[in-house]
Amino acid sequence: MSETFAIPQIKQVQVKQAQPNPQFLRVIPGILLLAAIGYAGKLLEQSVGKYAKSHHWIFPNIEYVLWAILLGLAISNTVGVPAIFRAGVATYEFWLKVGIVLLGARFLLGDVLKLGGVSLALVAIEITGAIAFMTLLGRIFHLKPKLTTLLAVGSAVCGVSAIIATQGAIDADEEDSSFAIAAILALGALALFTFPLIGRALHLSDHAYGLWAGLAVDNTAEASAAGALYSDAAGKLAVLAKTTRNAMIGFVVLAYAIYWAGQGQAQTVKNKAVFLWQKFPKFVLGFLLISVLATYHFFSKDQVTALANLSRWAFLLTFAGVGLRTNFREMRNQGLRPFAVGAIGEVVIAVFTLGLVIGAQKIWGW
Amino acid sequence: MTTSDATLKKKTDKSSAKKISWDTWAVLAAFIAALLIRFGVVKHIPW
Repeated sequence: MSETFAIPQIKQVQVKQAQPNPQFLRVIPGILLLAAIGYAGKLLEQSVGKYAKSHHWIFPNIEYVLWAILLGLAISNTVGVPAIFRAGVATYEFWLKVGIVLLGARFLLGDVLKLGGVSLALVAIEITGAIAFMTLLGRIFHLKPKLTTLLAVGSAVCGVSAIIATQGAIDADEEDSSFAIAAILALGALALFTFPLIGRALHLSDHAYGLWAGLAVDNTAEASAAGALYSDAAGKLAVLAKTTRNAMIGFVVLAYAIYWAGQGQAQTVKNKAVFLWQKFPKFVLGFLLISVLATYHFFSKDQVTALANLSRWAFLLTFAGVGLRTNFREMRNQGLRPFAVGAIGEVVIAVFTLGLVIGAQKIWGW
Repeated sequence: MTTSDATLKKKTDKSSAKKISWDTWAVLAAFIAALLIRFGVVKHIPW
């Protein structure tokens, strides 16, 4: 896909003149692929379960989430994703955000404020602890200071989006952000398979597990998938906790931008309010607004069910995309040291946030 | 997401700083869908 952007400007104009909306048309094959893989995952969940039951086999119920991710991973890491599908497959983050906004209909405002309040307190502790630990780890491993900043933001706040936002704000190298993104994505992929197993082993409630996945898994798509792999209720909580984390992105990036500007290594932030608005993820506002509308009965019960189902379809495309976009070979090529720092940091953050959630579970009795 | 996609996202973000972001498009799409359901244009979404 990056080749498209290497085409000189004049050629892009010519293409635009020939085709009225090439960007729109370019994404259709990939979106259809996401839908096909997601739907195949849904069919596999039903048919494999039925087949095992009819033959009296003891077979674990593998949910559509895992089937969709596995199918995507199989394609991405064997035959690869053909070029014609790539632009559309990249829309999986768009579907993720559509799904999150629509999911707001399943939360009453009171629940959002209560759970969001708990999440906010835990998120504040998690962000502070994660940034402090990753900074220390970066110094121990002698990583470049800006690479350390990117890894710290990526693991403390919200993965790829936070790294990209910070890279622009602190004038970090492209190479550094690629390293940080690769480390965060590789670890997110590992979390998909390890978190549900750990949650089951520790007999975590849906509530506690969902909160943990939302606090500890860095990329929003992987956090949502890790939650949904456990249960529907855990998926909802994971999205809420992750959305709370996402809401913090502007403040953390602003703090780092001011720090690096103070060091004379980044541009000064002129208008802090504008900066915060630019960095603020707008889907968080959409999620809250839908939740307000649902709370004040703007939607009937059947309409809330329809919105929730639509949200599930959007997440289905997202989970297919998570598998299709995870390429272990490319991640391996990014280098070991930033990955090692990220891995150590992620394990410590996962244990730390698990302790936070278990503590909160005891206090609130979930 | 692969790192090349992330690079693309960065380039897209820079080149379309003044355009509506994907984030905002996602919110708009979700609200249009919600309104279609609210006003009965779409009555049922199966799962």
